[in-house]
Amino acid sequence: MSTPADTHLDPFTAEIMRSYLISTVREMVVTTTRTAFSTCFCHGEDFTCALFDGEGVMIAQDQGVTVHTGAMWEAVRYVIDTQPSISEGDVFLHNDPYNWGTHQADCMVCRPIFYRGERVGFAANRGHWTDIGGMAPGGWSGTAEDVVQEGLILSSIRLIHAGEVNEDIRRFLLRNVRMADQLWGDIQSQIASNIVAERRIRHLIDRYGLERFQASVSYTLDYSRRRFRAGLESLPDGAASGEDVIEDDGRGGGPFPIRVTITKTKDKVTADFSDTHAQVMGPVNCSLACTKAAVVGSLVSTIDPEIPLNSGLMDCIELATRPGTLVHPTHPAPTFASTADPAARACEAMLDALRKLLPDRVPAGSYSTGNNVTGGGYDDEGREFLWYVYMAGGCGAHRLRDGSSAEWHVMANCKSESMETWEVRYPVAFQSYRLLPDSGGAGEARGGLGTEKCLRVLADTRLTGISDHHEIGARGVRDGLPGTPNGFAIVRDGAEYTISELFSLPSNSKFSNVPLRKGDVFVTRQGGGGGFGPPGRRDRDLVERDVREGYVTAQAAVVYGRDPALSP
Amino acid sequence: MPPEMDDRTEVGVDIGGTFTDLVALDPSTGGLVTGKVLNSPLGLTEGVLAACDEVGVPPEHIRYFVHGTTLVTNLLIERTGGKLGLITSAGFRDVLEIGYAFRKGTFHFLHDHIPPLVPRHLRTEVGGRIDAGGEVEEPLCEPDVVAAIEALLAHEVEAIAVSLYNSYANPAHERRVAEIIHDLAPQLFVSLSVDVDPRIGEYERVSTCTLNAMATPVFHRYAGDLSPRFRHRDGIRYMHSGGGLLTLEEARLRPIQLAKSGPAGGALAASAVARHLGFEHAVTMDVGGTSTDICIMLGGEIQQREVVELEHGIPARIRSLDIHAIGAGGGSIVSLDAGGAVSVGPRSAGATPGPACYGRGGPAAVTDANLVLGILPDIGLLGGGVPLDRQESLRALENVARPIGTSAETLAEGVWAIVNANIAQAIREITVQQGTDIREFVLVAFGGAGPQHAAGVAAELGIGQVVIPNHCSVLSAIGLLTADLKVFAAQTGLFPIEALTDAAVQESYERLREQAVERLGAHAGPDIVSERFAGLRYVGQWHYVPLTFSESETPDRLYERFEAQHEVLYGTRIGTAVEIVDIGVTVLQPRERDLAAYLARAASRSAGSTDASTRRMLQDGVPTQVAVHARQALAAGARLRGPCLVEEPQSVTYVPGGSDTEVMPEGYLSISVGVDGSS
Repeated sequence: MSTPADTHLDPFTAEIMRSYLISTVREMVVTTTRTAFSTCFCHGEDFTCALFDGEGVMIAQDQGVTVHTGAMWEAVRYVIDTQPSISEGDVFLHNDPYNWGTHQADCMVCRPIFYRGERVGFAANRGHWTDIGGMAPGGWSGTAEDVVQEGLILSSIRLIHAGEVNEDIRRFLLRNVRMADQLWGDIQSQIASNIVAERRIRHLIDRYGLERFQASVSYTLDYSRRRFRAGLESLPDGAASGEDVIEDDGRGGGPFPIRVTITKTKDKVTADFSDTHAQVMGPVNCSLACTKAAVVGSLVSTIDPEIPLNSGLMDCIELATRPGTLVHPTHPAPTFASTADPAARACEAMLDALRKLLPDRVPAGSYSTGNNVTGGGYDDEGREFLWYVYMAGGCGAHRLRDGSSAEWHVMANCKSESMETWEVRYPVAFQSYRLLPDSGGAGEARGGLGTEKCLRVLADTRLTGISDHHEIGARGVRDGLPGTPNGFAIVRDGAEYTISELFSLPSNSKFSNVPLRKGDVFVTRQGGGGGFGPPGRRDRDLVERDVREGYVTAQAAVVYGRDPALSP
Repeated sequence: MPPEMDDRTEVGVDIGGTFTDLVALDPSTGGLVTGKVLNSPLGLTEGVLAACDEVGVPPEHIRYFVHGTTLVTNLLIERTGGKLGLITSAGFRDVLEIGYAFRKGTFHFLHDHIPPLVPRHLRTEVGGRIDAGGEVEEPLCEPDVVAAIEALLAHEVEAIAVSLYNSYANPAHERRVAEIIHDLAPQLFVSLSVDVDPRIGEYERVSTCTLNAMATPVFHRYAGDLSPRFRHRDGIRYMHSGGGLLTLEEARLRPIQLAKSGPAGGALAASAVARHLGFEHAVTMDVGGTSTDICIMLGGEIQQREVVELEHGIPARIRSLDIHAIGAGGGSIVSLDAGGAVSVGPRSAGATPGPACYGRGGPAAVTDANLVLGILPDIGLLGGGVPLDRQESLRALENVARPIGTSAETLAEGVWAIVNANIAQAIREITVQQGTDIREFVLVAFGGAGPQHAAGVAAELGIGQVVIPNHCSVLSAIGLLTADLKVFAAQTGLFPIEALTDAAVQESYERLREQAVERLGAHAGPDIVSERFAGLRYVGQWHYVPLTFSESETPDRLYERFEAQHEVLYGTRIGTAVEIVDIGVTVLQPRERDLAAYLARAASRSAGSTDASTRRMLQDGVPTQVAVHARQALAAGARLRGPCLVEEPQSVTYVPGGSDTEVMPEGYLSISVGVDGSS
């Protein structure tokens, strides 16, 4: 193992260079946010930036979106391996879920960094495109049966060669997606972030020289590796298994278990998913990149949430899977939901196992879905619209505190968008957005509350979505109770229906292009988090506060031994 | 001996995180009296009075008093505002609590919970709906309003915030709610979102309105406590976040505007210095005890922002100078992180216990490193106010250095470099948003610790010139004295750029101007200046580009300016349709604008030695005797070669080897930064 001393860097210069590399990635993020067109980028911040060395070893990454974090370097490596030559000024697109892409909507835009003719690095930006073609606007097709129906697959495609846009590729791409103008704007913003990184790295090398730059790269990798290993000391050696299920495949099949066994030795963790259910013909298979992200995300959250991510620590994590399973599907199984429910389920399975090794550290289960839904159609003036809802819900309680209400689960993190702005942009009117009382699982520490949003459509709208755990609530632990499940509903002419009732479908949570009529209200409910510890042991003052604030109704507070006749 | 003061005295007081700074213009001599005292534990009023006492200016002699204060900032952080209730539209009372639903730190599933600004049982809902076009879709349910007010009165609230859904498009329902509150409970403080921030975006609007309601009762009490101490109450001004002054009356109505009052004065003064010297672009850097405030001036204009994030990311949509605070200051703590690397800040030792050298058991901090390096004299600064103990510094640094096998001295040099790099990185990250080349900037440094680090930060950024203004440790307070009265009024427009010259739009601008003039107060004279504002974007974008212009602006010219600015900021002109999101008007009543004249005034009371001497400093690990010059003894045109130190009563400027400095005709120090100044 190298240290600052044997790479000719004093510890302070090494530290200054390391934080410069991390700061460079933050600059990439700012550049993207400020220049993008799509809501996913501007509000959702549904993109992740990273910096690599010339061979694709990941040096630094912003914390971005957890599902993106798992295998960005593998994707860059794939580009390097598939391209016979790479020139200065090239830009590659890659979103192939069967070669370290997450799902097709997340397209990585990467660009080599050259210094005086030598390739010294790559900058990459993986972001969620509003549309990537396929059978439903915006993807999230709940009824896809193979990956080809889910949108264009861009597998290591050279969009720009030595600074020149390949117009054939550009034309091909923009003729095959919806909202093409917006997409081109977003690609530009991804490229802009890569160019900022190149400028910064060149400046760093100008200042310190190539050798010291390379020394700082190994120092940076070592730093994270050393820090991760130090964190691993809190995890006892041994093995533990965990499990969660995918409720259904959208075709009437299910539930399907995802099982993992974690083995921890001195400075390594292996996650073995071999015992997971076989892949299915619905869009709930988890691309390998997302499985890996779930492993990394669950471990980092549990062990050291502030650790700077890079290939240094990834070396300490091993993933074992069996091809042909839900967490390692083989082509052409559909994978679009990978970044949402299957990744969240794989993460929950990991946390279930980690909880056995570190019972006081890991919280109870969370709502763990995005409830991803898109609405598309034409407004009164004939203009195409496409909106995309993804929602925060209730997170699991922890030994020391209640779960977070209205917050993203570990595998995702986005900013909610202004409803008033939606109303001037799309044909919708919001009726409510609220916390759901009684949704958090009861416990000594209570699960966080889920949320509900009601949106009236002001134009006929095709609705498409993928979600899960509409039957099963978030897991409670140590006698804590589960949270309420997720749900969708349509209110038509004053009556509330489930999606399967109204449209005669096998699944409530997976559907494509169901027709809403002008005036229908779409309701999306995100479940509550699981409780921790027996409800009877909850602090009386907290029970009273919950009733006073309406987080828990007087009727439901009976579970805490509170007399329902008492006034709040 | 206190100077002879009569009741023409003008005073600026700036309360920061650690120190209270005061500047008084002595009308008898034309000189400036400056003072710096540690914040009073007895409270803000006492702190202000203590500072007045320190420089010998009795409040009854003050004719013009400008206040930069952290009062509002702190009460929002500490949630010590009045008990308040919120009235919202049916279905939306949880918007305030849900917020952005964004977790700071992707992997932090165990972060602390922040209680909502108003607890849920004090957030009430009323029926009625206004649609996105401003049409009343469902009338306001007045019985709901009465019930809501009665419920809140039963909980003994002092203030009520009212923020209804889509009210930006039509204020009628909010206005009616205010009337009903006034009828039922005239004693309550009421904040309407359409008065505080009538712009689109339900969360930012309710948050800003609620914060305003929270600040109102406390601000009234503070102002009620402080104002009677002054004989000339109509001369009291408050610095607002946007770098202008408010009258007491306007500050009482919309105290949320003071949320970022603290750092505004310094940024104003430092950018005025840069402009005076003929620079188009500048970075201003105020390094205090707790934090460094960074601000960018581009093309002579200080960058502004429309939304500031308060503690825990809670948004306040108020027009503000775009000042970024980072956790790097004299008190920033030096420690080893979980990976065994040296980290500096963001935690601070504060005023109590302070850095180790204060001798109160504090941790190793940046001040300790600078003391060990010899940048600071062993006796300390602040006119000797806090004596420093070098042995304590060495001991504390040694504790951090030992596990990584290095010495306190080597660590101290490392800390100096890391602080500089941290500040430089923050500056780089801020300027990348603005599409500019940082190397064309001048760096203006001030605040107690700014001049100790400025040359190092500049070298890190490739900036060639640093300017240290006179009175640099109290520059913020001087900025207060030279600021203009200034009010900004805005609303949401949402119309295509072609409609700019339509009668209805012109009328909206005119109404905004009338509102702004009214808020300026009785001091608005015939020479007020007004300026229009619009937030523009390509149709389909989310973020907008702010531009200011005059009444005669045409849509074509504005379109061209927008595209040019978009290209500067983001590298592209897209050429598609453009819409105007928000419109606004700024009016200001100009005051004496010649900051340079203020700065040129000599200090009325001299302190410290005027003799040149030498001090032992570490230079790349080698103890070296370095020249120390007394700033007040240096004549214009004097040139000094680095390494050297320039001392004044409350500050010391470090000129590293390879750099040199010259005293400018105005008295400012100008440092030409050597390329290798910090590596």
